[in-house]
Amino acid sequence: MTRILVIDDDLELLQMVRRMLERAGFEVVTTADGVDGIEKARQLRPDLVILDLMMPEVDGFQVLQAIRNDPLISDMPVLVLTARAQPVDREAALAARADDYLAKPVSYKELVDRVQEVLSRRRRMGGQGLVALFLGLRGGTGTTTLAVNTALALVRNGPTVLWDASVSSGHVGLHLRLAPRASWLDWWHDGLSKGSLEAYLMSHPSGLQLLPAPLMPVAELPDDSMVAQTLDLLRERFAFVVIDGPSTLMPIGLALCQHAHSLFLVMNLEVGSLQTTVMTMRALQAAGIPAERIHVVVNHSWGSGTLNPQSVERALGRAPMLTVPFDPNQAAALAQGTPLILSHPNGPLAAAAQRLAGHMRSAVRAPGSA
Amino acid sequence: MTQPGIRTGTLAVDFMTTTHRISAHMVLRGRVLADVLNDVRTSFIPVEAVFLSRLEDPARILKSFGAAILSKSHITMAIVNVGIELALRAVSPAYGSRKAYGVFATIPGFEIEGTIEFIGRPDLHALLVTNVERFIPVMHARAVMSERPEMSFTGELIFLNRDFVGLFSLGGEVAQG
Repeated sequence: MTRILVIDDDLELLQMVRRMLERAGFEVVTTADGVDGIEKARQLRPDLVILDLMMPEVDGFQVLQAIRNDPLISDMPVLVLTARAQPVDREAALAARADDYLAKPVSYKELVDRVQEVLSRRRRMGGQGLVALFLGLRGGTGTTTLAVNTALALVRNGPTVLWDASVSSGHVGLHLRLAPRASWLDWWHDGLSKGSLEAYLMSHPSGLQLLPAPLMPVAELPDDSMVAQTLDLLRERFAFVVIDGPSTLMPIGLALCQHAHSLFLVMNLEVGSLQTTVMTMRALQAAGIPAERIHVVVNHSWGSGTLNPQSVERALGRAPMLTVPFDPNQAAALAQGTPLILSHPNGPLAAAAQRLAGHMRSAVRAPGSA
Repeated sequence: MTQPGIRTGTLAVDFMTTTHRISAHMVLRGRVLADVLNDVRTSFIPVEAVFLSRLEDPARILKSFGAAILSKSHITMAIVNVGIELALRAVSPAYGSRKAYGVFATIPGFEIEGTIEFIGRPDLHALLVTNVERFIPVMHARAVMSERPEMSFTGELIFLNRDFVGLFSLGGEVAQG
């Protein structure tokens, strides 16, 4: 049963909203206190929070901020219900990342319609998850670092899974300080069913879900026809599917490229990396993947002896989408298992991850443009 | 059926001063808001469930109070969106012919557009000078913040404190829907 938490200091209103929602078949939990509301949201993990803005002590904006800043509940849908019903209030609530806004007084129909709309919007979001693939066919380009940090940047915007699609002992677990016991390959062997997905996912405290890679390099040839089915199941459940791609196009790399809405080719400013990137672009275009889906990201752009940006642009035939400066904290971040977007949220790598996440978010706002 | 969000006999009002926005509930005790605002025997209004914001950031709640007193002479306007029957006494349709006119007014920090009703010929002198009522009701109004025109407040009814009116202009008659 769908559980809704209602937070409002008006006890009379709480009772009426409870009756309305129970009549519509929802399980309802209420509280008149903002602090208790935050605690209940953490403990009960409701499917939706209905939140008043005007409450004494801790007001609704503070409750909303606490929810959005808590990685474990940051993607919880919140419907603001308030008597402060001016356009400036609506804009402020949506800017604070409320899902929707409803002015008091509210009728039974308005309330139930809006609740169902928010819930189904979230479900739809899950059913149409966007897929971003990070690919670095030349090793050491920092592809995994960018994939991990971008996935973490997306968590606040909706349910996000990071699929470590490496076939040669993936490293995403190290970045997140998670020790995988099972992998996507085990899921495939298990029959790749929706019902068994949970058993193969690992939760990071941020709320990010990880679908780990096999620890042992894959000796068999995985069936690339499983890629589409895997992505269908992940997109059904998650708003964002971020893939740390394998270091080769075969056996599953090309299939992943064909299904990704955005494909980030990660390179460094050295000649070997440039050659691999140029040739990968040609191979992808030859495989029928539209050029507009492919974006080049230059990572670790630093130091003497590196290629100059003009020659890179000439060789690529286009400007890189993003150039990420070297972040000296990365080695420590990997050693500690705390990605830079969490430990150094104002650093250059975090900024780059936010930009890449922004690219994905804009694809949600403009469906079909990804 | 009472709708959630409306307590019997109380009215949610957004009061503006030259510096602050005060969202509060008024317990009317059988009166309408217009009478309370225009009651010359009292200079203050008691309010409950008070939420204070600065005009420069009008959506951010700065402080809240269970109860407070507002000084009428500092209120530049009062905005009502729900329950205007609790804000303005209904005029009998039989009493003269009421006509609505477009109105534009300025008060400190805001430009307001809406409609105003007159019985008979519109008389601005009577409205702004000889009228004993300090708060002028403007219907279907929109108040744009002068320094941040992208921000506005709307009200089914906005009472303007004529002591703060800088410019007041009457437009043509408008059809009443």
